[in-house]
Amino acid sequence: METNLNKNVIKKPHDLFVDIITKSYEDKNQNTYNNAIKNMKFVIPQGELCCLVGPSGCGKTTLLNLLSGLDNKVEGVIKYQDGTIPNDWPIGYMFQEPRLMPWLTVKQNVSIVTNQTSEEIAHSEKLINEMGLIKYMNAFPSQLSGGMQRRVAIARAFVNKPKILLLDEPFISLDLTVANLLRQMLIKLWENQKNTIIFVTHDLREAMYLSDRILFLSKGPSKVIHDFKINMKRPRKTEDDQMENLRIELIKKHPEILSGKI
Amino acid sequence: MFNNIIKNKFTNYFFKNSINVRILSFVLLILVWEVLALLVKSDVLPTPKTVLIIFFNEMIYGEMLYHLGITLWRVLLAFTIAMLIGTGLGIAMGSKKNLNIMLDGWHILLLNTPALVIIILCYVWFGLNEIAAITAVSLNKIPNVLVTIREGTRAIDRKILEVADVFKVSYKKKFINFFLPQLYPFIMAAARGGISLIWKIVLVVELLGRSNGIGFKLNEFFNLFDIASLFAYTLSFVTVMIFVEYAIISPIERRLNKWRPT
Repeated sequence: METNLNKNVIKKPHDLFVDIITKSYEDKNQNTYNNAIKNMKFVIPQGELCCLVGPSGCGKTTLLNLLSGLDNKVEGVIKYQDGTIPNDWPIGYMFQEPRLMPWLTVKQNVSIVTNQTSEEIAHSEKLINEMGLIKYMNAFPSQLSGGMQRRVAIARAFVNKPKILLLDEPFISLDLTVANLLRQMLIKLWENQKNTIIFVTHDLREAMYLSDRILFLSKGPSKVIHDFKINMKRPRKTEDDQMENLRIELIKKHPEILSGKI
Repeated sequence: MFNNIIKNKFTNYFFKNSINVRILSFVLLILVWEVLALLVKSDVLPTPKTVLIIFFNEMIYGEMLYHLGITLWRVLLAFTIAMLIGTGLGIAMGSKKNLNIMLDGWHILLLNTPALVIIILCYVWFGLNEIAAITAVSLNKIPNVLVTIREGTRAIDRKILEVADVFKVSYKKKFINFFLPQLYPFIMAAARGGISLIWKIVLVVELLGRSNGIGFKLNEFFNLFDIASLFAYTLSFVTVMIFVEYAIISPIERRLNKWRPT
């Protein structure tokens, strides 16, 4: 398979290849098929934190569903370097809302998605502790703030040591301080586990703070219109001149990518 | 004025405790009964004291406990069968549209057939035996359970089930830990309504075709015009049902609702 991977980079077994020819869905009202994704092609090296940025309705959630295996009706290929597909391995997922089980405690909410062996339960506790929620181990989600609920969701996303972690605008509708704290926590866990992360957002600042690389998507039918690498050291600052300059430069150079017109 | 303050303090304190109000309401009931019985002065309305004496006599020296046990056994059996079948059908019909269309007509037919008709038909078809009795009671309750559980199934939050899917939780675990807990309030509502309906129908079934149980005895007392004994037997059964409510159903409900914010 033809790849965009730099030939100098050593191939790893879980480099992710995505080559979607078309992904369409049925419009039941009009009885037609609409293309959500067309000719989308990219490679994400194992362990990379990659942000997807695009206008709303560009099929980002559709793409995540394909990657997670929730949806497998697609014309195209999604697979790892070693020939397995993402669904063969543990997957971590974070939704726009925390989506915790209200009837389970914090600890149960995290461990419920594991096989609940004693090691896995211990690992759940460790992650909850790293999220600064040790006091809330046995609390119910209704007793937590929105930011704390998201922290539980982060712990849950990492608990199975997933090969790939999919995040669908997880920090939307949070105030800036809380969102920044959560981003730092996310980076910390990722640096421990070195999972491949695909982070969907429409906030360019967030994408620049978090990622190694940003893929800009067009409006539907969606494809990659720009591939932007960020070679900045971590820990990064949230308000940083260097980053701000990079952002302005990017927008100047490629005014079309965020215009929503393509 | 000082007096008034003390009085207010007392009434405030008294009515704050819901147990006190319950006791007051119970004492009032007995008082009204006593006064009415004294006014009527007839065997048709025995005084609380007469009923209580017969109650303890029958319990210690008579057959009351035997008949009570038989009736309770039938209630328990019919309740379990109705809950299991009603819940199963409710879930199936709530989640499968075509099955619902298929069975809905039968369901409405059964829901609207008078209890008495079902009882008579069961005795005619299966004979005057235990199986006919239990079947008749269960058949009367199943449609009600079904309605409640079907509503519950339709109200299931798909987003929670999606969490189970992306984290690749086994089908069994998804059902027990992600699906059923969402149904608990509906199952509890069905159970609560179920117990009170079932014990009433069990008495009718016993009256029409069994030679033991509370219903059978009530018929006997009716024929002998022994209203005091009729009261005593009713009292025994009501006592047991109140016990079931406070000692079994309420604690289960509290346990299931522990996570709800108060």
